[in-house]
Amino acid sequence: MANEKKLFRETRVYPIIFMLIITAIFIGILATFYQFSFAKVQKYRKTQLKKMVMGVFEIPTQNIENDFPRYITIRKMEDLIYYEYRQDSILMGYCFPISGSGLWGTIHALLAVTRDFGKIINIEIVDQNETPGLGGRITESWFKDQFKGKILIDDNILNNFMLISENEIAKDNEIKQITGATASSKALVDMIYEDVKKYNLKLRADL
Amino acid sequence: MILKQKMMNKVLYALIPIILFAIFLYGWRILMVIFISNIFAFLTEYLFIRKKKFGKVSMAAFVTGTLLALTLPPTIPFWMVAVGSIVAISFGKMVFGGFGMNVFNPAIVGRTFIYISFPNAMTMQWLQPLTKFPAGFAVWQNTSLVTTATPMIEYNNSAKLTELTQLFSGTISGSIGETSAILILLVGIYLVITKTAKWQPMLSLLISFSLFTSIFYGANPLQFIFSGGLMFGTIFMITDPVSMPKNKIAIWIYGLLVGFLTVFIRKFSLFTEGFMFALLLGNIFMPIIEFGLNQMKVKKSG
Amino acid sequence: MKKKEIFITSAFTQNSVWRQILGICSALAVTNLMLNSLVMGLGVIFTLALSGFTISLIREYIPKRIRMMVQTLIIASYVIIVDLFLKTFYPEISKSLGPYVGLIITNCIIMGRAEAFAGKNSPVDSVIDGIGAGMGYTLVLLIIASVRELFGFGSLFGIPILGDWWTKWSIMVMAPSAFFMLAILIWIINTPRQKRG
Repeated sequence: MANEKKLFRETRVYPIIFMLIITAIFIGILATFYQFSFAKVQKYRKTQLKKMVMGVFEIPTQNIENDFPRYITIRKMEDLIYYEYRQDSILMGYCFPISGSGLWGTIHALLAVTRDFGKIINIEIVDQNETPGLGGRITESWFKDQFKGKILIDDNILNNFMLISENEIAKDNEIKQITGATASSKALVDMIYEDVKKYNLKLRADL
Repeated sequence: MILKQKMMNKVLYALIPIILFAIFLYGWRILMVIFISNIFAFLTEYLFIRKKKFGKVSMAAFVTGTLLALTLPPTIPFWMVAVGSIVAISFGKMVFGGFGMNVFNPAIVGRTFIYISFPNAMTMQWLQPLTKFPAGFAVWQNTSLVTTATPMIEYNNSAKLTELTQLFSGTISGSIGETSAILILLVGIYLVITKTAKWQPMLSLLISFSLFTSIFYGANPLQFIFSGGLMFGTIFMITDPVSMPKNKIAIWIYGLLVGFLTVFIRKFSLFTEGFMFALLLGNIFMPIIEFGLNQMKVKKSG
Repeated sequence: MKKKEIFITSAFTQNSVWRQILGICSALAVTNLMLNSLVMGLGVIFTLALSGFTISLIREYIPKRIRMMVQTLIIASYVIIVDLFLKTFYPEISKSLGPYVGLIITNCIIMGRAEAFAGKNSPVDSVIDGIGAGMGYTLVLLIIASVRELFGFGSLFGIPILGDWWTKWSIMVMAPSAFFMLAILIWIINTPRQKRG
């Protein structure tokens, strides 16, 4: 031990202390940034979700922060988070997430139905990876709007929509498919069928 | 300028009856599609090798061009044929070092490229074949457009299978060369007898395809074999001597794998036709499987 | 080395993507739109410049054995700042870039520049080097994206260029085409260089 005096920077503790200091500094910087942005990001996310749910139920609104709690109740059942739409405390309908496999990946959507699952109120695509310009057109409003008001369950029979080509005229149980993207169109229709079958009784039993 | 390859010539001869039948069904425009595909295949390969010392365009380029053309729908726009042909030769073959070096079947590479790029042109517009003589021989283009009704697409949409006799005779809508199962089968027999194509990959593919069709669909596999591009693929695509493994056992594994993947993709994905992707996937795995088999052999003998 | 020389070396002659084949993961992922590529490029330039500056500033004090840890920590911090910034002010762009902003951390270019340049040179030079390398990277991204967006959507920066007659090439919008385009780009740039020897 009696050799030359070791420089502090060559001792074994130096790297540890150095790392601690530098970590502390950068965590400090990041924490500050995070503090600043966290609230904003959270708020944005919440507003996006609220906007989407309100949009699916087609509730016109000027002030989303006030109107959302007035109309919508967030409910949870097992793993499923769903939304109830009440007007003057009368249950008007449900909105719940549905998903199914598309051409290149899973399609996620929000589906709003009337309280008896009799009719579709609206559908909104949350996330999809379909071919842009083809299957990706499932997010276009002319396609989604076709589902509005379509009869879903009639006499306890779940309606499975038929696909027809884009230039025909759709009857009650028919949906115009996207030209060149039969698969993606069919995926959405199948998704509705499967998930409504799955949730229909569950949600209504909760009534 | 052109490297002579006897084997490839035989494949081209064998394709003549299929081309003639396609003209009968769809009109002379088919010939133009094949011509364009071949011209661009030739030009692409020529551009790549023109500066090499003994650079000659291989006969295989014409096989690729013709096979590619035959897998396209009869209504395909000419410029898409050109794109497919250029991609097939450049990305399917020349980037790997030219003839004999390619990992993938070039024709299938070209087809996949345009299939993904232009799904509209590739899957939506089919022609109702002409059947009364002189049929297509008298017209430039058959004009009886039908939308979405090849046997495969029909099955996918409504679980309705097409009659076997129809599938055999080829009077159904579909890609240019893939429609008549019986004709393709006869050509296949010719290729096997003249030792141009190996029978092992064909047989293993069909066995595995039938087996897995029965398992996944619980149905008689015959109609599935003869509908869609499977028959054409079995005779002309999987037997491509370059992208096929050399090792005997590997060939069997190759066929079985592609057969399984075809059924798997047809059943579980939203694509109607699985053979194309299955073959490419098979091509990807073959070098490593063959390498493994050779290693095992070395170990045993050593 | 002169400042100009540093910049040109790291941006062009030793371009990280086409000379060193670094950072190609993100070059493949975000290049389907010009706008995404530009934002991604700016994020990388920012991270490269500041991490280069910081690492160079404390390079005398970083213990040799743990220098990788320190570099990663510094790079990660700046990347998180970029990510948070986008999430806060440009949530739409942040969403369309997906996880790739966060993955700038694993972009080999940044680690590579930190190791190869910032650890040995002065802070100002490191900033110039970082900006140069970042701009070289952005340039590659924009070249690939311009081809992909033009073929795939018929537009540039979302502005329609080609008319209705143009048939959109779906494959150009999807990941596989990025492989083709990047390969072609590297090929075109490196072929004359190889011929010169």
